[in-house]
Amino acid sequence: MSERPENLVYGFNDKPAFFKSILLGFQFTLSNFTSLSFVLIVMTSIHASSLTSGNILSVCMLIIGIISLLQSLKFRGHGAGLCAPPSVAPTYLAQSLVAVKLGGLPLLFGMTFFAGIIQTVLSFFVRFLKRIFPTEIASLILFLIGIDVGYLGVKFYIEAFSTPHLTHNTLFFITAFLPLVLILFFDQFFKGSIKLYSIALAVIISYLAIYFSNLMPNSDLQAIANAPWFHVMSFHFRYAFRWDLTVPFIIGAIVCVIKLSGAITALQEIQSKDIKQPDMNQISQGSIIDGFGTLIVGLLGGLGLNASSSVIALSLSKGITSRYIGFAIAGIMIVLSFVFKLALIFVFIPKVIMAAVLIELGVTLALSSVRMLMATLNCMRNFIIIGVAIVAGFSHSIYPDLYSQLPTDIKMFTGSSMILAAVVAIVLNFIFIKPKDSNKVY
Amino acid sequence: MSGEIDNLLIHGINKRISAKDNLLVALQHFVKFSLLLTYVIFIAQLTHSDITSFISISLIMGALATLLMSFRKPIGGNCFIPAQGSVPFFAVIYLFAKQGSLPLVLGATILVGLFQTAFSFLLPYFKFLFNKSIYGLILFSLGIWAAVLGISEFFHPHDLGQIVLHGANWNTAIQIKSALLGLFTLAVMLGCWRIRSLRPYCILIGMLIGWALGAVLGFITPEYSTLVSQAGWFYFPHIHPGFSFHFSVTQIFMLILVGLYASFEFMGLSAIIQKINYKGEVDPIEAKHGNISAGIGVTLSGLCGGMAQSPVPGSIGDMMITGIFAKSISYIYALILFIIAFIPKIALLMTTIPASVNGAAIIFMGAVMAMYGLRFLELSTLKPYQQKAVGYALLLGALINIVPQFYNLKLFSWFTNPALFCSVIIFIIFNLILGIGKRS
Repeated sequence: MSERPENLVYGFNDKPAFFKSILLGFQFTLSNFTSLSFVLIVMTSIHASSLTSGNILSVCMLIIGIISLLQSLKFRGHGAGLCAPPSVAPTYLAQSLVAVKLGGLPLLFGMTFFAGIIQTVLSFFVRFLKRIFPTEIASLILFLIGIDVGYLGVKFYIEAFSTPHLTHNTLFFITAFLPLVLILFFDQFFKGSIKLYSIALAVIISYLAIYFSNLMPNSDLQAIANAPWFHVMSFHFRYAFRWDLTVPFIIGAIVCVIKLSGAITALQEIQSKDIKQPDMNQISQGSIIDGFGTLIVGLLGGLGLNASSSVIALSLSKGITSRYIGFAIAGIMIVLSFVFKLALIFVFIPKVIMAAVLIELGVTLALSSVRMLMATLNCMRNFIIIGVAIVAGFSHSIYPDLYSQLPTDIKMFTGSSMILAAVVAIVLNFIFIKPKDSNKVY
Repeated sequence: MSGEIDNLLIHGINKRISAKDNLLVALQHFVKFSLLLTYVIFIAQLTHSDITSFISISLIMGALATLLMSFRKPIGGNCFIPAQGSVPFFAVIYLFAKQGSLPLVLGATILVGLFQTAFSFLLPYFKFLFNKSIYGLILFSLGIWAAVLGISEFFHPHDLGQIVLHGANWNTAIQIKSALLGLFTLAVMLGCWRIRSLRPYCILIGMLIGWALGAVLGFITPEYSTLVSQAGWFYFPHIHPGFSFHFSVTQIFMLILVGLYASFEFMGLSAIIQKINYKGEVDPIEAKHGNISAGIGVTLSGLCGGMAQSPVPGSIGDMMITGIFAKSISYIYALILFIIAFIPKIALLMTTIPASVNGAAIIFMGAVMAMYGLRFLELSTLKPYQQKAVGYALLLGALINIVPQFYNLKLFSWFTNPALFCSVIIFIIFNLILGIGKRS
C-alpha cells in the first residue's frame, strides 16, 4: 500500500463532511473569480453593453460549473476524478481580443469553439505533445501573458486617470490606488485566510469605498439596482471563422493542454510518496474534459477555459485535492450563474479596481512562470531557445508598428507577443535537438 | 542551482590563452561593438575632419579605458570588459546633440565621469544594493533591451544610432530583405556555436559573412561609403578645443541620474563576471574599484574630446556565449583600438556593417544575458516579500518600454535603458516597504 504524505489533507477520493465541502468550495470559488476579469477586458475592448457582458459572464460561470462537475466524476475507472475546475484562460486572452475586434462576438465564439476542438483532440495525444512542446515553452508563454495582463492593468489605470471629471477629485486619487495598496497589504502582512483572499477582500473594500465616495457613475448604479436577482442567460448561436486566426488559437490550445498536464501531474504527485510515473490516463481524461469545456463555452457564447491555476495552487499548498470539493464548486458556480445582479456588479467594477487586480495577477503569473523557467535554465541550449523566444515576444509588445507592417501571411505567426514567442521557441526547439548525453555542455 | 550552466566558464580571468584566441576574440569584440561609433554621426554640425578626429580620440580612450579595467585595485576591475562607446550615454548624447553642441556633450561626459568615480567611494555604504535580485534585474533588463534593439535593427538596415533610444523619432518603414539578412546572420552564428571548435569565434564568423553578403546585396549606404572613401589611411587626431558646462539645474540632476544608472549597470556586469569566474559571493569592493576605473575612463574621454568610453554591457553576453573571460584579451583589444585610431579608413569601414548583421549578434548576446539574469534571481532562496518585489520590478520595468505614456515621459528620455533604472528603483522601494517587520 502506497505511503500517504503528511501534508495531504484530502486525497482525490477522500470525502470531507458536507458543510466542510461547501465551505471549501466557496473558498476555492472565490480564488477563481479573478479570472472572470478577462471577460470584462474582452467586452470592454468592443464597448459591449452591460447586458451582453453580464450574459457572457453568466455563460462562462455556468460552463465552469458544469466542467467542474464532469472533472470530479469517476465511475468504474472512467472519468478524471479530479478537483480541477476551469477558469477563463489567460492563454486565450490576446487571441480573443484580436478575434472580437476583427469579427465581433461571432468570430470570438467561432474561434473559441475551434480552439476547443483542437484542445480536445490534442488531449488524446498529450503524451506525444509533451515531447514536441516541452514545459519551458509553456512557461515562457505564461511569462509573456503575465506581462500582457499587467500591461492591460496599467492601461486601465491610464484610462481611469484620463476621465476628466475625476482627475481633479482628490478622493479619486486616494481610492485609485487603494485596491493595489490593500492587495499588497493583505497579502504581505497577514497570514491564513486574509492572505489567501487578499484580492477578493481588497476588491470588496475598494468597491465599497468607491461606492460610498460617490465616484461610481449613476447610470451604473441604476443598472445594478434595476437588474433582476434571477435571470436565465441567453446563448449565442452565431459563429464566424478566419483561417488567419487558427495559428494563435492552436498555440493557445497547446499551451492549455501542456499546462493542465503539468497541473494534474503535480496533483498526482502529492497523493502518495511512491508515485514514480504520472497516470497518463487520468491526465488525458482530465485534458479531454477541459478541452470539452472550451468547446462548449464557444458553442454557447463564452471565452476559452482552462484549469484554474489559482485553484490548483491552492489545492497543492493546502493539500486539499478531494474531487468532492469539485462537486461543491460546480454547484456554487451553477447557482451563481443565474444571479444576474452579481454579474452586473462585476461588469460595472471600477476601472481602478480592475487595474489593480490585473497588475497583481500579472505579477503572480510572471513570478510563477519565472520559477518554472528557472528549473529548465540548466543548459546553454535552453538559454538560447527561451532567451531568443522571450526577446521576440517582448519586441512585439515594444515595437507593434514594426510587426503590423509584415505581410498578411506572416502575421498569422506574429499576431501577438505570445504567438511570436511560441513560434520562435518551437522552431528553435526543433533546430537545437537535445543531446542524448544530458551532462554534455550544450 | 547546479548543472551545465555552471560550466559556462572555459577560460577564466587569469587563464593564459593562445595568441590566436587572444587575437580572434579581441577582434570579435571590436567588430561587434565598433558600430557604436556610428552614434557620433548624429552629433550635429561636425565636419568630416571633426568626425574622424572624434572617432580616433574615442578609440584611443576606449583602449585606455579597457586597460584601466584590467588593472587590479585600487583602480581597476581586474577583468576584461571592453570599452567602446557608452550605452548609458546614448540618451545624453542624443539630447545635447539635438541642441547641436559637441562642447556640451563633452562637458556632460566629464561631469558624469566624475560623479561615477566619486559615487564608487560611497558604494560600500549602500550594502542593500549588493544583492542578487538587483544584479539579476540589471542583467535581465540589459539583455532584453539589447536583444529587442537587435530585432528592431533587423528591419532597419541603416538606423542604428536613431533606434537605440525607444521613442526617438525614426523612420518606421521596415525592410524585409534586411530582416532576412539578419536572420541568415543569426543562423550562421547559431550554427557556428554548435560546433565546439568554432564556438569562441561564432559571432565574428557570423558577422563577417553577414557583412560580406550585405555588401553584395547593396546594404552599405552611399553616406557611409563616402565617409570611408574620403577617409585617409593615416590620421593624427586633434583634441576638440573646449567643452562647456552650461547646464541647467534639471540637466545637472539628469546627469547625476545618468551617473547612478551607469554605476548600477556596471555593478551588474561586475557581479556577473565575479559569479561566473569565482562562483562565490559577489564582492562589492571589486565592483567599487571597477566602477572607479569606469568613471575615470569616462572622464578622460570627455577631457580629450572623445565619446564617453565605458564597459559595454553586451560584451558580457559575448563572453557568456564563448565562455572566454581571460584578462589577457584586454591588452590585444586595446592594441587593436589604438592602431585603428590612426587608420581612419578602417575605423570608418567598421561603420558600414549593416545594422541587421549587428542586430543578429546583439540578439544572441542579449538573449543569453537576459536568461542568466533570470537565473541569477534565484527566486527560491528569496523571502516571499522579496519575491513579490522582484515580480513588480520585472513587470513594471518591462512596461516602461511598452507603454507609450511611460517611455515618452521626459524623465525617461534621460536614460538609454529606463527599464533598468526603474526596475532597480522599484525593487528597492517594494523591498523596503513590503519588508517592514520581516527583515529580522
